[in-house]
Amino acid sequence: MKKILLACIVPFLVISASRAQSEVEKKVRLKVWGQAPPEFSATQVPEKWKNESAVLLAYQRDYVCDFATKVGIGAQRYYVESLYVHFRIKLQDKAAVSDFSDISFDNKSITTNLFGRASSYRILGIKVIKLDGSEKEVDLKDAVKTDAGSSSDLKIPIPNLAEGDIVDYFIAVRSEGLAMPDFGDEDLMEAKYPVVKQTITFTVPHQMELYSTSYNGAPDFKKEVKDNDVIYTLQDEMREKAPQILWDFPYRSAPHIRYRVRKEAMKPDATRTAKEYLNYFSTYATDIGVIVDYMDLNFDKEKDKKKLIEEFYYLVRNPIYKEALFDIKQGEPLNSNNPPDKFFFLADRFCKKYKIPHTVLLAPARTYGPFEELVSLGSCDFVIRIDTNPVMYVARPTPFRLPDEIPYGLEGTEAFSVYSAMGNTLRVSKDDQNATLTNITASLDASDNTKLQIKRSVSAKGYSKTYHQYLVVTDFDYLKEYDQPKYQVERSRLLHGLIKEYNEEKKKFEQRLTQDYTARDTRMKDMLEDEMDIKVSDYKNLTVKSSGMWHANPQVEYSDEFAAENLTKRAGPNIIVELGRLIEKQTEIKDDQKNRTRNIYQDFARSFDHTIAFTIPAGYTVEGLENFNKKTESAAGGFVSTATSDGKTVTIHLRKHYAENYYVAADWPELIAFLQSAVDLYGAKLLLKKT
Amino acid sequence: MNNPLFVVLLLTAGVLHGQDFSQQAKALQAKYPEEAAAVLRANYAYVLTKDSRVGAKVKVTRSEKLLSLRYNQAIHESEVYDGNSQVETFTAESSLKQRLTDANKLCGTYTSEGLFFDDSKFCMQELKLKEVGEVWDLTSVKKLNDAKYLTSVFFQEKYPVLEKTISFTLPQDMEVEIRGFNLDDFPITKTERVADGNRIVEYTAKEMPALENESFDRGLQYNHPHLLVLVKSVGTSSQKTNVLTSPQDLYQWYASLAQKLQPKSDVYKVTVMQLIKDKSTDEEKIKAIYYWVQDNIRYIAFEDGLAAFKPDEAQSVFEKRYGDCKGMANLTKEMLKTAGYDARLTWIGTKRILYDHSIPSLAVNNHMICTVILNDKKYFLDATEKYMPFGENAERIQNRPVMIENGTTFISDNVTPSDKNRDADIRTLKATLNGDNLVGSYAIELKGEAKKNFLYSYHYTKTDRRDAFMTDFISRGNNNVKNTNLKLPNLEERSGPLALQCDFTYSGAVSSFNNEYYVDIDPAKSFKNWIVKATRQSDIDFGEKIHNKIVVELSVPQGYAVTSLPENVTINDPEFSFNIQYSKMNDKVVYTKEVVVPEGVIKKKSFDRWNAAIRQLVEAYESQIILKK
Repeated sequence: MKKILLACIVPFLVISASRAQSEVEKKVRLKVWGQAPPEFSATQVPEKWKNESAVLLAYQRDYVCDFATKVGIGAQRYYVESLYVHFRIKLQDKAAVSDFSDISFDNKSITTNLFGRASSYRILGIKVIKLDGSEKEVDLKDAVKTDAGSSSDLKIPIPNLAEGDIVDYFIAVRSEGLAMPDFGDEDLMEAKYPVVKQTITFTVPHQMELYSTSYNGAPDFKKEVKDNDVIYTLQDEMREKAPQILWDFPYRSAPHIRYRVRKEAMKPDATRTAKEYLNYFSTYATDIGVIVDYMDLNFDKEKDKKKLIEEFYYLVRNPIYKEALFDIKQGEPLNSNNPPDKFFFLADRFCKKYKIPHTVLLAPARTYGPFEELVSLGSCDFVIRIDTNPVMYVARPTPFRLPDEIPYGLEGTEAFSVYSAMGNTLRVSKDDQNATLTNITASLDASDNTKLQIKRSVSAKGYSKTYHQYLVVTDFDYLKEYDQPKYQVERSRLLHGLIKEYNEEKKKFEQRLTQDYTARDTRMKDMLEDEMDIKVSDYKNLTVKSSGMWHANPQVEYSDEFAAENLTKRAGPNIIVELGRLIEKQTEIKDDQKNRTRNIYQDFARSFDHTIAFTIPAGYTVEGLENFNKKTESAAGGFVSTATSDGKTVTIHLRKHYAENYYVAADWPELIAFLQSAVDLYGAKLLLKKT
Repeated sequence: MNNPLFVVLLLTAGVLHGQDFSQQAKALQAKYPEEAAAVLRANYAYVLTKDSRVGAKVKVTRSEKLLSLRYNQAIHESEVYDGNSQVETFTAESSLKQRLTDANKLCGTYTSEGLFFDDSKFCMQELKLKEVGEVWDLTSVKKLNDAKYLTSVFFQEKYPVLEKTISFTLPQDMEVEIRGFNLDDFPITKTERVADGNRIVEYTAKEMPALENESFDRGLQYNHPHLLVLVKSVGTSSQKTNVLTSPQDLYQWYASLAQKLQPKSDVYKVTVMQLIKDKSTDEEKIKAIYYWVQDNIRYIAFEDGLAAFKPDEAQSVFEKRYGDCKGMANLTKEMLKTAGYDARLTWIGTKRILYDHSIPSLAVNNHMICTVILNDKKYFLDATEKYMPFGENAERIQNRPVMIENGTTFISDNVTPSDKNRDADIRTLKATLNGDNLVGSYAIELKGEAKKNFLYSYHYTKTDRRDAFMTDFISRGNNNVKNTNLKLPNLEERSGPLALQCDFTYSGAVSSFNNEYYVDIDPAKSFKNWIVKATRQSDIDFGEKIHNKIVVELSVPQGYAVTSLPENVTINDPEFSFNIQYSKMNDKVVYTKEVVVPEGVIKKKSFDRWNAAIRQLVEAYESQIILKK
């Protein structure tokens, strides 16, 4: 609903007329509070929600659109949009009173036209209803300024507020515009608190219509014609609060509505909108001169289309060219914005220029579902398919994305192209393509056998590598990766300046070594302490063998060393080593999450392989190897570990993998089973027995 | 300048100078790897002049040379002010020709921590550190309209300081005392001279580390070097104007504000009478009113202008049902007076304040409570504390000096401290082996501050999240400890200890290898992560007296023998004690651990002993009981 709070402020003359202001406020109060439906008189919470912190007794959202005619040089029709959002919430404990203890809001604003009538406004009203039924409106004149940088203008403590009270408040917004409203959105039925009754209405002139679809048990709108208006009403009762669920896409699994308000009553045709959008590609003129210069100077004779696309992609990801093409500054390349849609226009032009067969696709995000269910294209993104054999994909560049890598949020979706809506299913990666391999050697510290000396090497690829790349690759490393002769060539004055700027920065690289690497070591140490629940001392020798930024070495590889405290326990003359913790904390499914009815949405399929080699100290034998032998496998994935010893070294191999990026709820027990095996292994211990 | 050699020499000097900064920056980078900048030299000049209206006012001129230790990073320097002061200029210029004028500064409002609204404001300059070795010159001028608002002046800054001078220019006939605190712990020197008829007092500090923001800190005044400026009077004996010469002056100013209050008891009289109507003793009546204010008035502090010192009207707080400490103290006082009791406003500095009431400064008090005098006995009532029993006092005000209103003078006293055994968290577990787990019964007894804090946290946790809160509280954050059959007592009862019982499972507590069972007996390994960094600047203040005791009584199953018990640990220090005892009785092993920090504070000078003790504690935690089948 927020999307309709558009900033369509009509440039009317603002007249500061206090009488007009009070009249419009009075009118709004009368509409919202005076004519509120019966549920806004409720004071009691249903028995089943007695133990909730707060309960929304009533929640109403009314959108009203109307025509008006403005008389100026000629008569002009314009549209008046009003939105009223009204809450009535019962506070059942001190925590809820604390939550509602003060409210921040934007300044009231009322703009009037030449005749003193309100043309646009933002009005807020708050009242508190006590247990005895008495009501008192909060005087917003007592509000004070919020701190600089706050998202709201003012804040006010709610006076005389206690457990059991009801807070009844509304926000009313009105605006005017010349164009007929056309907007769509998705609204979840579940909120932070349970809702006894909620209503959404759209009142529009008969020339306009609402299209809506309800999902996952949300109710439907009912249509009613009244005079020249059409009123659509949705009523929902006894809705539980939004649950906290692991691996959930609420817009795929939770009750919600999707709607569109506009001229036609037809189902929004996202594909048609997409087609209109994609047609830009044939008409949009964008300059690829600097790219052509680069290719001419470096790859004049190159005929391999795959190679051309790769070089194009690396170039557009290059901080120098990001600045040249998109005006994205070179400094801090890991934190800079990703290229805008212009990237796809450039890619399209590039392919045409170099005669690379390709198709521009618009793909819907997995979080919102397929095209046929969309009411807007806000969640979609472009992907360009290079129609070579095999095909490859070009997605919006991120600092570490490789050519032929699509965002995991688009995997498996049915994309749309201007020529065909069919046959454009984006591929889905397998668990082995998103693998993380960790090799660990561990031994007791020779001088302090309460500590473990650990050497670790990590390699990650596919979608799994990004997490590691942001851990170990610094801005300095990133810029250095692009320190290649081919990126130093230029013909234009623009590139000359930008390359000079890059080289000047390069001279100063040494200056940032200390800060970047100090921050990185701290980051790594903190991560290890948190993930292994240990105290890390003497973290050192982090070496990045591959940043995973190029096809030649598409996986990130690094190694490091540290001493881990709190991994051993004394047991008389013996030592217990909690080796399981070296695999880092594992996802544990809590009791309240074990029964699941909603399908399971993971980001991507993935696998984790560990090899741990533990040196048995002289004078000890090992017991408890069996604690490290686990096997739980199913179609959903699995966890398998084995431990062996040759008397000198204990070697543990383990593998955990999620086979899919999506599971139906019925698969949940299979996931729980192998997740529990991993949790058990995390807690597994080895005994070093003194001989 | 006609001599070309002279020009060359000048240029050479400039280059050398630049190289010096670059090398100095590299050295400082290595020394302070986490700092974005270092202050090469700072001068803070406080010039006090006479003022006919308030006695004295102050002009503060800051000039600072800041050395960049970062490449391409923005930092922010700010000047703060309020209703009694203003920033006149705030500019900066760098060696790389970056210039920030007054037009560049961003000013706005901010609210001090813990308040809802005050008149704090800031002006900020964003300094873009382009290169390591770049030098910024900052200059600002701030004016304080009334010298009594000039209190503590600290030496440390957010960046390390190589050299800092703080000077005070004082007219000869102005009586100003400057007291130094914690100066001996740092390389700080003081000089005093007379110039242009003024007394000049100058302090120079060298090599000061950056001021760190640390958890469980004790309050800046305890450990950080600073000066407390006491502007006492202006003029000679014939025409002398007192600013704050004595605690009596301070009281008079407080009292003058309190005298402006106009209580309207009609507003709250009905409630007062309702509260006390069924109560027979004075204590019951006072308690009823005190608890009502605790329960019904939310702490929301407006501290703008005079409101920072003048309490809100009792009727206003009563009607709004919110207020700050002064508003709550005043409402408590007026409601008690309406009930016929001798109740008075009381100014106090909490434990975060180092200074006592012998010092005439606004900095000595940061809190207000109400004192009720009953049968010549004083009861200190702090309604900002929720779930505080009548007759007991919160740790933060115990033993602190108070200024109790008493007409034209004040009564000086100290808040009654509690018995040293008042605060305690005592846990008793009866455990048996069940596979890899320990299972059994779990009892917790909470007393004093521990109980008050528990009740507050419980009641201010959302009802639907209280199970999770209790799980966390019982397990002390150990995810392997789960509870069932929890029995809670009356959680509205403030007085007496609080006792709760449940059953527990401690998963993974038992590791078995070839008929040997290794038992990790303690599910609550408190203080295991309390090694203090060598660079910590502040004493540790736990905010309560620590007395944690856990007793685990392990039943040894039939057919099992205890083959090894870990060694006992006994550490007794004046500031803390750790005791771990294992004993074997018949078919039981009893583990008793007691951690005591009697004052709730570990001083900096004790950190080495504390760390050694924590290491010993952790080692003990890693020791297992061995049973053999």
